[in-house]
Amino acid sequence: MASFLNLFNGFSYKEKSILISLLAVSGLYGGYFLDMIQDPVDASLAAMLRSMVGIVIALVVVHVVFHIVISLDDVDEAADERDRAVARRASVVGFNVLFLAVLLVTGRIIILGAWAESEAPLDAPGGLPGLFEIANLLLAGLVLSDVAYYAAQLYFYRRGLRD
Amino acid sequence: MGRTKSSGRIRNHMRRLRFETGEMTQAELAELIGVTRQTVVAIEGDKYAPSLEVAFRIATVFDVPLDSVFEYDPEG
Repeated sequence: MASFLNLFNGFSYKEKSILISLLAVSGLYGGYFLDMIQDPVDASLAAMLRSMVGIVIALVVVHVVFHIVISLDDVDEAADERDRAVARRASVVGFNVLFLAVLLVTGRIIILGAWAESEAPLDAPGGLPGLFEIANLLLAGLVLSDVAYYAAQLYFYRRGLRD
Repeated sequence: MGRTKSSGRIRNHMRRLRFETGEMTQAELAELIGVTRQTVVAIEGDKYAPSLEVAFRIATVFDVPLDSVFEYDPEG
């Protein structure tokens, strides 16, 4: 594990910490969605709730373990104005992704809903989205916005904030 | 009124000033101006333009006017 993190020796503690969050969120939620797409055997809200509890616990464990590992080499300095500027700028990126995701999910519900209500001779493709699908689409939006937030932070730390 | 170009860039002479001030380290300067060492590295590398407050603190540490530390390059 330590040798893997040695790959990121040029990174500060904060950059490593963000990278851990990025990989943990992408990996754990990515696995969940991949499983959901490839093998949607138990497509129920109860199963989703169980998965979410498992993912949250796994996220906490991964964060604690990897932060202990990076603390062996680096010191977490208090955030300064640059850290706050990077977080602010990355928040805008994350917000835009979340906004787009909510817009798309809302659009899907309204358009398919209107189609189903109309007297169109054809059924709406895929039918009306159920609660399980809506919950997963919104969750995917949240995860994507989180991933965009972490990725944008890393980008701004590496590329710099000049304007 | 003439238009101003927005592609300019702020450059700095912090590395030289640190060298002239008893080869002050980036960590020492960071401590004096209240930011992290990574932020000093970013400012020196023209990857971050600090706030006015931090810019004035840097000038105060080196005991020089602000425009001796930072200069605006309109060509970028």
